Amino acid sequence: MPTVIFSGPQRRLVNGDERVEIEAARVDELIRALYVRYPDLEGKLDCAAVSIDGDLHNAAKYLPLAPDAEVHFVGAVAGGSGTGPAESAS
Amino acid sequence: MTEPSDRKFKQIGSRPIRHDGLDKVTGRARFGADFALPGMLYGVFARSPHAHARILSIDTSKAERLEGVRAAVTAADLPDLPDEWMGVTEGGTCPSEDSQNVLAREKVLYHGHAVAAIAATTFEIAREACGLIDVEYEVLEPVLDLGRALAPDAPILHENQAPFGDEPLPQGPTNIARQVAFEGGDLEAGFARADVVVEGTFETPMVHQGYIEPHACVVDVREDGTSEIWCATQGPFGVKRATAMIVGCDANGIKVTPSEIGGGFGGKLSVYLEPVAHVLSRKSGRPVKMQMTREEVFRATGPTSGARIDMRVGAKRDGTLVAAETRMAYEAGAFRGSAVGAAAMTVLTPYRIPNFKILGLDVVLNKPKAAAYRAPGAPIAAFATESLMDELARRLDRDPIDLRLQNAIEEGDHAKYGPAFKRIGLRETLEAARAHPHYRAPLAANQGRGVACGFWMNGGYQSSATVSVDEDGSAVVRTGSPDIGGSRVALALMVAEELGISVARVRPFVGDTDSVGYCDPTGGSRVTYATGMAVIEASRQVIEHLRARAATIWGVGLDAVEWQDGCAVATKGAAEKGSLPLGEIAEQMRMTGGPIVVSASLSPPAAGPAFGTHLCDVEVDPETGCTKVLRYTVVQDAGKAVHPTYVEGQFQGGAAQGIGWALNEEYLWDEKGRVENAGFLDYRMPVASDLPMIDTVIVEVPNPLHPYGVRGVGETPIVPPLGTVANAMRAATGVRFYSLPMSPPRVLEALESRQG
Repeated sequence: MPTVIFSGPQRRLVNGDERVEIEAARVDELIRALYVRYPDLEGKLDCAAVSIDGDLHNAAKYLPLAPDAEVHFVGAVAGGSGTGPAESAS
Repeated sequence: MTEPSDRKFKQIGSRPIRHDGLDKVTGRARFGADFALPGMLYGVFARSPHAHARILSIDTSKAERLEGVRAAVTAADLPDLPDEWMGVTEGGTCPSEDSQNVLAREKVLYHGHAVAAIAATTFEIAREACGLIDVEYEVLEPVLDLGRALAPDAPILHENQAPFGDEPLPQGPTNIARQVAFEGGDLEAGFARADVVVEGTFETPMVHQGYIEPHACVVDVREDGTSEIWCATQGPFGVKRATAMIVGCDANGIKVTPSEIGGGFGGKLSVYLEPVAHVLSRKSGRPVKMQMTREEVFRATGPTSGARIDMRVGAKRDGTLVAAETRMAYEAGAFRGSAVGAAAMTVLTPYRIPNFKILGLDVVLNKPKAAAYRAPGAPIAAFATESLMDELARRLDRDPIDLRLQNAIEEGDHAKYGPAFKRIGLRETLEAARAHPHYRAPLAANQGRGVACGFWMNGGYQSSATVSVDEDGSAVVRTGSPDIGGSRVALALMVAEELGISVARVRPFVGDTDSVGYCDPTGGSRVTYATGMAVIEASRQVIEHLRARAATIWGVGLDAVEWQDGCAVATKGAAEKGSLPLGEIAEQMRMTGGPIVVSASLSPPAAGPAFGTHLCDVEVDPETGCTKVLRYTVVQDAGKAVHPTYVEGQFQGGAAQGIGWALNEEYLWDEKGRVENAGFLDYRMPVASDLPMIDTVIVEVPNPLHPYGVRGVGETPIVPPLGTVANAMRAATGVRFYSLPMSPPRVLEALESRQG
């Protein structure tokens, strides 16, 4: 099963868990399952960048997850503002 | 995905003259302000004389009665938009705030904030009309620095806005818009193990990107509501989307054509002019040109955040880092959205530190809204980290490169924001810097040497490309990625490499939003990486077409045709057919299936991070406090340099900007929040005579995410210079500088206090 590793601040929302194994074949399934398991997390991962086995994705919603995938949610991918959605950093 | 590391490139790594070079050096290239249409009007902004005030009323009637005035616009002409943060991809956005930054609504939030605009038959009439606009203000106390912004009794810029981000969040009224945090290990236990702890509070001022070309656009709205926009931008599709959002029209009706761009560095991702010109054009029925003055550029666009960083770092006596803690407050300007998130991701990442805590605060205050600036947030963060690494090396009597090597992250180590790194080149850049003659060059009195490292994540995002073959055997590569740093020739080199033709036979083209497939903006050091991968994929599909056409011509199976060096070569029993050059296949396209046109698109993961190590020697004049940069060397991992000259150019440009940031650049404000140095005479950026020739070393540790191993190179080179120069200043003067810029008066003051 894919393993999600939580950063320090995220752990406050997941009962202090550092990592959790969740049955999911895709990122969106994984997020839904995390919200069920950790209600305080609800909505917090929707816009996060997702690292899958070290590769950081900004549009990961439908990406497949290998059974041994290591997943991190990175909420802080912020390179300063453009205007309008989907602008990127300099 | 990476090709075998022993692949011998024929064109990648060569240094052809860029396709746009002749037009650039002869003045033919057309930039944003060069465009004009018959019957065009000229738009000018009326701007706030106050840094913080409530708008009680705006009356444009006198201005509209002036002869030659054709239209006026205020925020009342723009639709209400959602006041919610949309955290999409990097940074995120708030539609309501984007609109308010273009034209103020209830409040003006910085000196120079636009409150209205006029379109008239000449710029002069439009300017005169702006002076006739009556705006009634209730002036409020301006919040001009982080100390005041975070004080318990500070005026609150956005009374109805609650902070968001990582918890626990501040309660009650606050100018903290957002909070970002990363933690790992056990901080206090880590510091308890430390034999040495170094700490400091580092401050940097708000600075501007300093692009040479001011913002400019022409907008023509037709009777049916559709429109065309010509402008200087890093992201034409972003201009289309943002303009439609702010004016409340259908994006489908907008076509955006990007001009040549005279520098952006992140500052041309935002829109300031286009929605306003769009409304003025719609109201007047005429095309409208808007063009900022240099003063407007300084007062109302860009800049990057000023910041205050508190940091402490602990190490064992043998140099092993054991703990680090930092609190970083970044000025967002008038609206939330500073680069503190990226700063938090980069600040401690180059080094293995098992116990850490990073807190980033996005703080609003009465200054222009911060925009992206080349590796947004990272140079400021690295200034703190690298200054303390230097201090640690001094305390432990260690060589600064050796200490960094001892703690440098490698493949398999985790970034402070979570993921494990794949192959990276920090160690290689440190070793190359240590081996460089610069590191052993003798120094004289009042001279000193500094070392610092830097890291930037780089971006992926969406890209597309179309490659087509002409009848004469030449090729065109079309993308929607504006060329800021030589990307056109880099993309052409990729086509040439794949097809096996001369790069001079490939014409790169940056198209308008109706002519090319979608591309996210040129930013995040992503074009050569992401758009380049789309180009490579399209080129490889073109080869499949060419093989099939050759098979048709020869009457053999596809599997009997290979592609070698720009020719179809018959094999597998058909060898007697020999070979067909691309040109001969192209000549017969109409008889073999018609034109060959192939598009490819992708949304790759982030580009693979890039690390750099810089060396700087300075000489400080103890009489004047003036600093001369004697030598500067940039060592950076480029993965694979597609066009080494432009990679070196990126290295040098980033270093030059960073040196300016370190030594001279700063906004100067009066007590009412007015910028006092809104021009290049008084805002002191380095010019060629201020700098030595900046030496470069390209390290190539292939990026496993790219077919050629390419990494983005544009942003990393501005990350180390602040720390590099500060460390050189420490070596030259014996004074640790915690605040930038290290301008002559400040240096002199520091030297005098040292002596005193």
